[in-house]
Amino acid sequence: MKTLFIDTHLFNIDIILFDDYNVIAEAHVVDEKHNSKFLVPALKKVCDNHSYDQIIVVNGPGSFTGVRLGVTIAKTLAFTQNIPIKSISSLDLMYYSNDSKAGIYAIGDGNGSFIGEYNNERLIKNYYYLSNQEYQHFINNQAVTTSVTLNYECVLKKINNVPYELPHNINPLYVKLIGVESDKKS
Amino acid sequence: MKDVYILSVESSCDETSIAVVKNGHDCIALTILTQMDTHANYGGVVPEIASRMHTENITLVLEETLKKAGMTIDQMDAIAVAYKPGLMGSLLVGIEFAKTLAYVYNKPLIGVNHLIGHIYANNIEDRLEYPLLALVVSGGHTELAVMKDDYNFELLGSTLDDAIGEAFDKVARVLGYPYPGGPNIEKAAAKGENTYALPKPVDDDTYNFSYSGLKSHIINLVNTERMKGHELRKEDLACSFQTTAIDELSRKLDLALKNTNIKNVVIAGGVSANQFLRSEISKVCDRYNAKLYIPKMLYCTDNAAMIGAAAYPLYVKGDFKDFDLNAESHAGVCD
Repeated sequence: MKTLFIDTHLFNIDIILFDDYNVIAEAHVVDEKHNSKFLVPALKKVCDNHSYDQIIVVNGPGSFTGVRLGVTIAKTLAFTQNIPIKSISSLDLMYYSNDSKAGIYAIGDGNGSFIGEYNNERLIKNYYYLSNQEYQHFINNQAVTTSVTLNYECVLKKINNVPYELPHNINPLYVKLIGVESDKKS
Repeated sequence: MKDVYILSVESSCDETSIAVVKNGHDCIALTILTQMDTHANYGGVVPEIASRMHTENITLVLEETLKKAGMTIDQMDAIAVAYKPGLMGSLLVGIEFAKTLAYVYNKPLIGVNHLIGHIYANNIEDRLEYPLLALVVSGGHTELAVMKDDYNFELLGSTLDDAIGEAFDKVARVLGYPYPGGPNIEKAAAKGENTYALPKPVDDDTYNFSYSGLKSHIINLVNTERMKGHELRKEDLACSFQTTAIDELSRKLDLALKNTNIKNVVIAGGVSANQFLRSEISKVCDRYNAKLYIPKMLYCTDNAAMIGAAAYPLYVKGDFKDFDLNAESHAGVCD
């Protein structure tokens, strides 16, 4: 089984082609906020001369633009070529890589952090976002995992059980409210 | 030459649109998914929401367009996309989508200036004759240019501040008409009369426009009348504003027709949907015996068919983009 894995959830681009759990091609672009210039060239570098049987895309939370562009190319690839697709959250990616150890995981976006709380192999409440100030207070009271070495074999094994989705239904997880949404709430 | 089919993508603002255009003139299929109702809740386009909706809908819009065309992407000769000007986040969704298609199907990628797209909207089911005067009137732009041939522009003048469409939206807000402001001002103006004396924006011999002063004058007038407890004749004020704003276009076009002796005129951009504008510009053209091209209503507002029409001359020239194409938020017709 060949898997095309697309992760653009923060400011990096990681596109990796796996044959089962072995990497056969990969492209990485580090800390380029103008993702757009590099994304399809990276895809081309990985996919030229290769086919694949499924697509896995990291659909956030993270940088709004980063996630949106990765999801856009992934759903377009899946829809036009009729290739099965699944999404995985950026926090699940950390959690699975960490051998699904229970605890609180966080991803910072500069202005604050996205939080996922896990126990017994599952997310125990919806993801949420804390501003840097709130987060500083938050970490005084509990241990938070913010950095994990990604273990793609663990991730791919875990996600094997997740069902495929219709490409049209693959969409970003934003989590953080934007200005007009918070205005409406208050 | 064999028929050329271009799959074109438009996502520069709040419409997700994909079309199939044959030989730059025939719209084979067009889907426009407008987000207007969503943005109306916020009184204007919210860029982040616009980008989100493009990503949610773009593959659905593709599916619908291919179904209408009865064609596959394999049958296309090129993929075209509007890459400037517009909202960055919105443009990027269309660009990444188009690049992905171009890569997967090994088709040339064509980058189209959205404003030039509005001009080429007049080439759909018609044939533009050059040289022509192009008057671009939209929410972001007000420009008058000479177009000597395909993609050969000389800018005569542009707005020094606000675009005409922007002025319509802002005046609508001050008068309490909902978003989108342009069509609502037009409706109100139809019931009113031109009774308010408003200053002429740029009363000189240049081809420049200005709408900020007119807008401020109306805001001040509305505030003063309200403070004095006078009744505001909103419909009359809408009519006076519309008359003054469009008279500015007529005067500058009249000047250009007189000075250049060009006999073809194109109006392009969202504001060209305004019926009063159409009739006033048409009167100016009649005075000079000039032919006036006006896009069909369907092609006035943002749509992908115009992007496909504007992409065709670039296809013929072999003017293609690489996969590192990026969005540009600002551009005029000459950029």
